[in-house]
Amino acid sequence: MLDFERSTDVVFIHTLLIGVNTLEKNILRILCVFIAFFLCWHNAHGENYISEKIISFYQEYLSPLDTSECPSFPRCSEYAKAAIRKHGLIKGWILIVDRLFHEGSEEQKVSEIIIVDGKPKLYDPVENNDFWWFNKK
Amino acid sequence: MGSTKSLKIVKPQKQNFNSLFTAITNVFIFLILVILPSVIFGYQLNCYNEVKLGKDFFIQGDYTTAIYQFKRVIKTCEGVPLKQEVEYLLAVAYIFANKLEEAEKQFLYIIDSKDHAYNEQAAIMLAFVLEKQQKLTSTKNYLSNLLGYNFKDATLKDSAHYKLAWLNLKSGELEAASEHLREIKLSSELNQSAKELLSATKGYQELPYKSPTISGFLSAIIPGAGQFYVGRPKDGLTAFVINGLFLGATIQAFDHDQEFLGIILGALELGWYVGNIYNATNSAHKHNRKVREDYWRGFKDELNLNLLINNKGELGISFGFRF
Repeated sequence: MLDFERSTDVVFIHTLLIGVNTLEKNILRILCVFIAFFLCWHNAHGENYISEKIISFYQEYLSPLDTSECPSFPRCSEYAKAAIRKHGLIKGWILIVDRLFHEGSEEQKVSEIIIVDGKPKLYDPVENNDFWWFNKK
Repeated sequence: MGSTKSLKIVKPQKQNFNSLFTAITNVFIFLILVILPSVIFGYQLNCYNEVKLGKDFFIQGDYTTAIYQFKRVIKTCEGVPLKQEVEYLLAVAYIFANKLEEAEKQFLYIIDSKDHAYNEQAAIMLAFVLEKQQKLTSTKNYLSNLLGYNFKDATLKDSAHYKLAWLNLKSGELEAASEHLREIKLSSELNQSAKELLSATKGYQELPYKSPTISGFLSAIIPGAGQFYVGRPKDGLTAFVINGLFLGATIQAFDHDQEFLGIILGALELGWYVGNIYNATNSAHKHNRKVREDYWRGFKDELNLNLLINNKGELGISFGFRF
């Protein structure tokens, strides 16, 4: 059995609890257990397993509710998967935020336009946004 | 009654021998004139037709079928001189079908085969495959090593220099690019283009670049400022508003003693903030890449791959892609 109380992540979050009232403290305790559980499951299933599952959940159940269409190719959720798969969770997350910022029309100046399913899309894969620091050997 | 004499016809032995000899000769002639040519040439003729069929698929853009056909020819036409040509065509077809790993393997196989007629062309084409796979460092290293090889066809060595020059130009390494351009022989058909590129390198440094460092720094001080600097005001405004909202909400949460909410909002804000800096830096890099590409677009940035691949048109198919 893992002793969650000794986990460094939990200790880190406990340091933030100074001055927090009892109700919030309890909520944070639950959150700590959840994070510890998340980390164990994450490690058990290999890198990025959980992140990809969350994105897949979004693609399957939430994305169809959103009527607006992603102007880029690959679409943002696919891009997120690819970014996390390629660079891990932290760098991948930064790349996702970057993609969300530059999704607008100004990207047309610097990215290629391709036709996908008869519609013009901005071709913006992960390689288009990490080319200046990540080089395939 | 008179006695009847039976008529006995006796065939001379010599005639028997002659007819047997004639029969054997006929069979022999038949073998020589009819069967042997059909055995020897008929097999080859089929192979030629099969290769032609593969090329037809290729020309029509049906690369998957062309690949299948070429593989079939390689398997069935063992020992036929066409085999080497088809092996090379197969590798090229892989490129067009965007099966770059298979193309790489096939070119490596040709390069490693002794006395292969398409050895040198394959060596150059492998650089094209590596570049298409975005392996830019490997492409440069590979081409640099290739220059040490003594090419029978001098055009191929010039092509390697030319390609290396382009790779260096696109990554902003002007000195290295100039060195390779100077190495191209006067007699080469690439020489004129190389001269133009050399003179163009002078104007290259005065292009309207944006500094990624300044851009990132500005966005670190005021979210969105770097995007404004790069010429993307909408992105800048989005970054400013989102960061402002999350930062404001985080401060408000702490002001109202809601530390739990504050921590969550603060963590999200941290993501937006770092992403905003990355976005500003990335936008500057993409701007510079575009400026460089636009500048070089005016120059002849194509190697005559048709000549490289199709050496004097002997393959009977034409290609039209950029290296």
